[in-house]
Parts: sequence; structure tokens; C-alpha cells
Amino acid sequence: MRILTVATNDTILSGLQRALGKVADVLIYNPQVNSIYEALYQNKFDLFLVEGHMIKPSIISAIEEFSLSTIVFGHCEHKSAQFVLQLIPEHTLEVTPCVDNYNANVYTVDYAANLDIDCPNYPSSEVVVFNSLRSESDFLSEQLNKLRESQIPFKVVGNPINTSEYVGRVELSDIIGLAKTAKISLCTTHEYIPDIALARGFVYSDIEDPNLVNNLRYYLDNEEERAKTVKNLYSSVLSAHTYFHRLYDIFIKLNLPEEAQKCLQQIANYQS
Amino acid sequence: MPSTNSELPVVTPIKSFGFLINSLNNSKECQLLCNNINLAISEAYLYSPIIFFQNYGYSVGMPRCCQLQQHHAWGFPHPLVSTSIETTQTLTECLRPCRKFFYVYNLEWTKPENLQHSQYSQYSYLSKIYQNPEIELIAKNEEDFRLLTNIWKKPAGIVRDYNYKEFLDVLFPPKST
Repeated sequence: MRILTVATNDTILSGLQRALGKVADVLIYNPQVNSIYEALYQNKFDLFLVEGHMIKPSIISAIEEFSLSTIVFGHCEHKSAQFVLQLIPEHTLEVTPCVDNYNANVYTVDYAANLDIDCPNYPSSEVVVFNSLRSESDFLSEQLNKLRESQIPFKVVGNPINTSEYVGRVELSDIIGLAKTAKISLCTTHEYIPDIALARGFVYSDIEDPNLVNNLRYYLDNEEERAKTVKNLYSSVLSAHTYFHRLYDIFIKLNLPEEAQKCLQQIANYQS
Repeated sequence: MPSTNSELPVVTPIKSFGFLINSLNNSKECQLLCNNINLAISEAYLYSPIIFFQNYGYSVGMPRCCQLQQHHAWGFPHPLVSTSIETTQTLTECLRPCRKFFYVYNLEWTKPENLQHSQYSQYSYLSKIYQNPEIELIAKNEEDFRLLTNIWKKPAGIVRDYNYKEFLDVLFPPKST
């Protein structure tokens, strides 16, 4: 299977590539945006993976001209979510697993969890803030100030933010390792929620919550409550939101039942 | 006539310890270290500190103690104190020190642009330094003590500006009876 992608370093693309490597013989071609046409003239591709915000008129015309089966990943304007993950507090993450979005063999894929990621063992911690915001946010700084004033121990990883509690960039394996041992994983975006959930980490997904301090304190003190939520989130992710589930949907739409079956097999292996 | 045991003078063993520093120079840190080492030596001949340096230089207050190249620290069997992330990496490779300390004088992780070693996973790199089970942290003040406890692990003690008395309390804690 020959797959064309646009050169990005995206979470979903990495997840799909990782899962694809386990179920099919794939050759992934990853040129710069400007070289898409050149690549299409030189090779024949079975699938085109592209990030939502990178779709420009030139890419749309390339998809039409070469009749490419295309998967769009990341956020887009489409709102017909089929699955919903229940998160804490009363806040939901809409997940668009694989929806025909452009009526032209173009589908949308959303965040999911990676299976079988080896992660380091980190010492336990109280609250870990996973910052995936692309730019410095005043609101996040204010919320972190509130945590500091109320003496809730926390550290921030991910994208840089100007605070002494920021302890560096992380890779996916670090995120899973940290989430496993942290009492609360506070996420600024939805990017890593499925991975943290699958690592049996407790996710608090609403950084804008005005009662953030009180709620964090409540969950830090209530281990039973945390365990219950972790269990529910873990089972809903494992039942429908791994990258093998996403690939299964993709293969079904591409009429590749053998590969789709392999995806189900991978999930079954993990569950057993 | 041989003297009895009760007449023998009491001998206090000399306590040796070492510091790992990047460079012996005129920086504020180096001045504080040299001054405090000189004070410790002049107060009583009970201590034998050693400075292990990476780059030799001249400091206004030259230490009146032994100064050795950093590679000699590998066989040093006494308490050894590193003073930066870089020297802590050397400390992790030292096999013999009876206790290993990292004196966190600067909060180096707050300047991630300086951490070129591990661009993509700075956390795992820093964690191996600050959360290394073999290495005990020493904080500079109460505020840093709180921060280190929250982020990495609880320090073994607080030493203000290389104060030698506070250092000795941390390196050689009085034995509980």
C-alpha cells in the first residue's frame, strides 16, 4: 500500500502511521506541500493522509484530479460526531471517528489512543499539566497561579510556558509514563486524552473551569472517585477510540476487508 | 611504661568531601564556594575539602584546599556535591562516593533553551538528573525547597549561598543515638 502524506509532525499522523505499520505493508511518502503534484505525477498512491488545516485549493484540486482516497485528520468544521467521551467535569470531547465530510472519498479522523507504547517509569506526582497550546496563554498562566497560591503541587510539561514549574518538552512515551503515576493529568487540549485514558490516568480536561482549584482538591482527596472515572474512560477508549479502530473504519471505506480484519485482531490481542 | 587506653588522646577523623564545578573562575558562585571552604579550613583542621574542576582558572579568593581535575572524582570515596546539571551528569558516573548530592543553586530547568542535549524529550533528560535515586538534592532557600519538593523530589536540606556550616550539617548529619 502506497500512502501519501503532507510533511507535518502531527499526533494523529504519527498514531496512524504507527498502527499502519502493524497491519499492512506500507510505503509512506512524505513530501513538502509544494511537491504534492510532483509526487502524484511520479507515483500512484492508494491513500492520501492530510491534516485538516493544510487543505488548500491546490490540494483540493489534486484530490479531484487524481481521484485520491483521502483521510483528513485533526479538527475541522464538521460537527456530526458519532461518539462522545465522558470527561470530568461535565464536559465532553466530541470525537469524529471517520466521517464522510466532503462527499468525495474524503474522510475525517480524530484523536485516538496508541496501543503498545513502551514508557519509562517515573516517580509518582500529584498534578501534571500537559500543555499542548501552540502559543503562550494568559488564561493558562492565571489558572496556574491559582494552583500555586492554593499550594496544590503541580508541574507543567509540553509546549513551553513561562513558569518555574515548567519542566520541558515531552514525547508520547513520557506523556504515558507521567500520566500512569500522576494522580491527575490536567490537559489543555484534547490531543493526548485518549492516550492518557488508555494508560489509566485520571484526565481533567477543562483548564478553563472557574472552580478548577476546588475540583482538583476534591479529586486529589477522593481516590475512589478517581478510580471509578479512570475505569470508565479506559473502557470507552479501548472499545472504540484506538488508532486501530480508526484504521478499521478507513479500511472498510476503502473496501479492504482483510486489512480491516487485522486491525480488529490487533485490538483483540491487546484486550487479551 | 606503656600507657593505658584511657590515657590515649581522642583522635577525631578528618572529614573529607568534594565539590564538582564547571570552572574555577571569578563568578559569584565560585567566590562563595572558595570563601566558605577557606572559612571551614581556618576554623578547624577537621575538614579536607577538594574541588574537582573541569576548566582551571583563577579566582580572587583562591581556595586553600586541594584542586583536582574532574576525572579524579571517579575514585573519590567521600560525599561529593555537584553544582550544575552538567556536573551532575559526571556525578552519576562516579562509582565510589559514599553519598552524592546536587546543590541546586540555579533553577536550570527554567531555561530549557540551554538544554540542547535532549531537544525532544527534555523532561526525561531532566528527570534522570533531578529524580535520580542515587542523588540527594540540596536547595538554596525555602522557596526553592518547596519548588523542588513539588516538581522533582524532597531535598535533603537547605544551604544558603554555600554556607559551610549548613553544608556540613547536610553532608555529615549528627548520628541519632
